[in-house]
Amino acid sequence: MEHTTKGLLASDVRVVCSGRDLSKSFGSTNVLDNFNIDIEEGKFTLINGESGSGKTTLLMLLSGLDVPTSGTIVSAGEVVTGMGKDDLAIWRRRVGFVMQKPNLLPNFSALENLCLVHGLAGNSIEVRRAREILGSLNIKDQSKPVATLSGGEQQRVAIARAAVKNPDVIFADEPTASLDSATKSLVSAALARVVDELNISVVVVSHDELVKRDAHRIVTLASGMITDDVHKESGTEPSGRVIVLDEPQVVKRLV
Amino acid sequence: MPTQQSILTPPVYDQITTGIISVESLLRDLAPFVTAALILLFIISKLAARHHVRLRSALDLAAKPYRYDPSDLRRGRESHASVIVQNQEAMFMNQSFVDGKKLDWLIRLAAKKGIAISKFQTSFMNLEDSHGHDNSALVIAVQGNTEGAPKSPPDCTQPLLVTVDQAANTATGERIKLNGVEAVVEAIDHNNSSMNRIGVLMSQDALACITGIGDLPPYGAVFSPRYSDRVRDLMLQVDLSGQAVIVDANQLTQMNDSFWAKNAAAIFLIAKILTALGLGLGAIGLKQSQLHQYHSEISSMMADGNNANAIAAVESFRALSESLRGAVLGTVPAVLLPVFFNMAVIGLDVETGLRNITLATMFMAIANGMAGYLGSLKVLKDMTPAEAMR
Repeated sequence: MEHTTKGLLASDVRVVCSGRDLSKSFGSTNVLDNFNIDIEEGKFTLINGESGSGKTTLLMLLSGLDVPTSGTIVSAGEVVTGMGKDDLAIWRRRVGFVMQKPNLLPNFSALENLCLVHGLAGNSIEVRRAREILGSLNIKDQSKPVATLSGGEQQRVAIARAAVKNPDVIFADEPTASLDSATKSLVSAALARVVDELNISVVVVSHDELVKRDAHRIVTLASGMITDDVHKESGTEPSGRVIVLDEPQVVKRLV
Repeated sequence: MPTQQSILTPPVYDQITTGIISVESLLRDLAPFVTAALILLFIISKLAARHHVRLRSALDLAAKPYRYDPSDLRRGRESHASVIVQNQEAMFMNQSFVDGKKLDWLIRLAAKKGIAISKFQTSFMNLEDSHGHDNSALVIAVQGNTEGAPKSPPDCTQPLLVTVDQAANTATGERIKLNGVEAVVEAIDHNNSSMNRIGVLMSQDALACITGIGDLPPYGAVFSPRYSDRVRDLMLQVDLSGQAVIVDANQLTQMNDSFWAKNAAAIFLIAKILTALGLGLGAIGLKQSQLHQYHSEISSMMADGNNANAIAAVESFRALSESLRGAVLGTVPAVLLPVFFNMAVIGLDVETGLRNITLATMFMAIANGMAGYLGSLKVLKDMTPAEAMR
């Protein structure tokens, strides 16, 4: 396996999401300019960087929530750029989202939050699967209104909601930002568990040091450019340089 | 690459739909509240029934005194009297269209045939008890002189004797004031107050002393029911049969009740429409404001690839569930408020009833559900899934 440029992966690596020559401007401000990135399938990819570095903009483009000024995005097996509103809505069913706030339906239980929306949308979710995912993310009170759960539990329910539809990739934007240290650790581990046990790719935007511990790959942005792209070996800390792995390592994490 | 092995392999045997589990869970959540509310409702209805005071007109009193005799009144409600009242559906507490001159003529004719007929008058007054508390009163004065002949001026130097309904909380012998004129409570009667007016019985002489008017227009007249046929004939002779009818005490009560029911029906209808409009608009307004709070949740559902109809269905379901929960909480004040109202308004008997609670719950649920559905569609028009990230 070889690397050509920061952000890109070798041709033999299975990619779940790619951006090519991406540019995004807001008025006269260019946030991203000819940006290229590949996201490896079945891995936990962390995108970090200072505020204003363009990491959230990149996540929104890759997840189809925003449209690039120019460039191409291929995500979950389809060319996202140029899709119409309806096609995008259908495509989004193949990706999951975890936001900074859990954005759950507070009066409904964890189980209902997983099943109700998808059920009403006509995409029936098996209750047993929903229960198992919630269980694996340590949500014990699955029948109580989620408003009664702690912040960390609610965020893990949000992760379960994203994972239950078995998406190709989950995009998470600062999922630990409003949590305390102990809870951050649990939420980050829950995301890692989704990767390891469900084999769902996860792309997280965060400045959180705790999330770095769980990520397989850390992409660092500054002023819309990739300044660092670190692939971690099991048990090693990021070295600040590109590490080429011959065999992917699965790091088991405990919640 | 790791293989597609997962500890969470989707099972093939679990076919329970999410809808069933949602409804089941909702019912399970609501069950204790509904049970508690029903038990409370049952207890309150039993208590209310025990303390139920039948809505009856103070006019019903007119059926009691064949001749004004407080000792008779003290024995309780009499039903031996027939009453002549106006032949109109619209009956007012203190006004009548029965012709006083024709009634006097009838009384004179009847007296010649040995039949005693007593006129009675009604009047609204202010009752001040010995503690200075004010009440509205409906005075019913029955003529002692059954012949209807001109009589000598009343002796207003003697204490005026009156019978007062127990709702006024006065005692026998207590000195009260009616329109500022002192009177003595001679007897206490029961259940003769209506629409927050204390029933007060007195002689026509006493009424004349208070009003200063010797001969107020009559409201009606009473006589013994055994003369009903003969009095009916006499009414034809004096040309009263067109404008007056003979009724018994129960019919009088029914006429009065139907008057209030008919007149109040329009008021209640308007009140119901206004309440329904208020509740409906309130529900829609509340839902709109909630939907603005739900922006991030709605945008998250959009980001998850749900179309507008699915999100609207979720919001509708959520509104429905909130309505049901709200209805359970609202049942207690809905039942208690009329009880308090009945306690405050003498002679009134209003109850919420299960039927009304059910209707109100259904109305609120439908209004809220529709507001949730249509409101979320409106919100979705101006929203992008990217807002979930913000």
